Amino acid sequence: MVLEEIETSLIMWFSYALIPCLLVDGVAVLPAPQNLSVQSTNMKHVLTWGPVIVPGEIIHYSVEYQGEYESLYMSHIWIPSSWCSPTQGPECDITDDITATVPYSLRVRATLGSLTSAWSTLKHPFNRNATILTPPGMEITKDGFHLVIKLEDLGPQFEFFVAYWKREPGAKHAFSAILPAVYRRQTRVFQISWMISKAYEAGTRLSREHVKMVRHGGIPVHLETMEPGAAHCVKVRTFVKAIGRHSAFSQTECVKVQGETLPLALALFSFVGFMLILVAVPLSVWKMGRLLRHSCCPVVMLPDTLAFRLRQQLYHWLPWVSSLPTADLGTCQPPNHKTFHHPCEK
Amino acid sequence: MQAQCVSLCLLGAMVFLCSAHARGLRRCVISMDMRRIEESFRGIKNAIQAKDTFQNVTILSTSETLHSIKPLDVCCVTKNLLAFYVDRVFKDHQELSPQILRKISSIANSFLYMQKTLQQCQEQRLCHCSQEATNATRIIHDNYDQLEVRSAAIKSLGELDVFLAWIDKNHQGTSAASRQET
Repeated sequence: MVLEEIETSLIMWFSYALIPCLLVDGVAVLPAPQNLSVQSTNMKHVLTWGPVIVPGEIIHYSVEYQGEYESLYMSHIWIPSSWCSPTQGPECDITDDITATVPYSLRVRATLGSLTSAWSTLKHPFNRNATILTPPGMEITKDGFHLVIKLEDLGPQFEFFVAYWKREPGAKHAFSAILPAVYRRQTRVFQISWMISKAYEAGTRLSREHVKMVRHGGIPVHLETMEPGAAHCVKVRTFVKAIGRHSAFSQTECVKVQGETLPLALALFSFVGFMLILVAVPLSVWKMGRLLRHSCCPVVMLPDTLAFRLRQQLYHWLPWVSSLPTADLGTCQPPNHKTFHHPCEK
Repeated sequence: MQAQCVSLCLLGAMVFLCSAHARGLRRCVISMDMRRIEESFRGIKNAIQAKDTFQNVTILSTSETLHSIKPLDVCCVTKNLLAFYVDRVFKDHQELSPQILRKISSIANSFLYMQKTLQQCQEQRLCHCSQEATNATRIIHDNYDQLEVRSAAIKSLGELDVFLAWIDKNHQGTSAASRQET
């Protein structure tokens, strides 16, 4: 038991003796970060590494970079990263540091107080032309008959190529109808005709397709005024001038404006209304005319005896009146057309 | 049979003529966005030019050299001046401030990329150097050698805006016109 105690205390003294030797150098104590890698999507570059774990302590990291120019002409120069000298998490956004399309070397080290680890360097230098370009997001809206598009804001490095066209369902099948007929002829003629028809089809599709370049995302852009009833389709891809690469085209999205039925119904109602007016107006005019005529010149019906007497007196004093037609008496137009014996008829 | 041969021949001839015409029209231009580099320089321009003590002297001698360059000599002069900055100016300048160092690094690495682009043109023999182009380059090198190295380097750095504007003017004409812009 005594021997065991001596052995334990010897081990303890030996450990304590070693500690100053390890700490004096300082650099080797903290392990260096491992597994450095760069993920880059749409010109946003992020350097990540395996974290250094020291229980109960917060580790800070410093990132430095060196462009191809520095590595060729002044290899001792390493530039501290804009945002990560120092940083806490095991990742660093190096987008603002990678500013040219050349290979960049990157290195990271951990620090804990006055202790620092060794530098850990990225295995293969990173060139930003290896970034993954994804098809951009787009939002299509209809402002009445106007086709408006809003593109995802990807930053100042991105330009957008917007392709849009009016879809005509009949035309694209025209050439597929031609092909079976041509195939019945000689093989060579078929091949040439097929090539020409395909080229013409592509040409007509291209001539119907419009391309617009949009410099900035995030703001609505007017494409064209849509025709009612026809589908209008849009697809877009990005272009990064700094690396001379395009992304893939986004999914084609088509919109349609419902315009046919409304004017048709409107036209129908307008026609019916017009016909009604055409009939009703003359009818009401005629009716009004009749009412007015009879209101200002009412017909007075004399009793038979008075009319007879009046006639007799008139013939006595003015014999020549008897030769005139009886309508001149002015009392022979009854106010309605009921069938009864007209007093002026003989 | 004969008609098919004739039509094929005509098609082939058309394709050949079109490609020859396109090759003849090709010029060697750097199609990159100079605005980024100009922005980088604008950030440090005042600090750099404040350190220039020889105000009456110019190294690029713009009126004698850059303004008198013909379009056919643009590729050669650009290539030579890029080499001038990359091989001499940036190396001779000792920068201590991290902010300025970052910007100079950005410009230097961009110049390296432009040199690689022009290298391709040179391999395709589109970057021929005439006597005027060679003379203009020699004048600039001579001006640089007349000053003490550190002063010459800081002065040349201060004149970067002139060089960048000249590149922008001579290399953006075709690439801007070929696109339909909003």
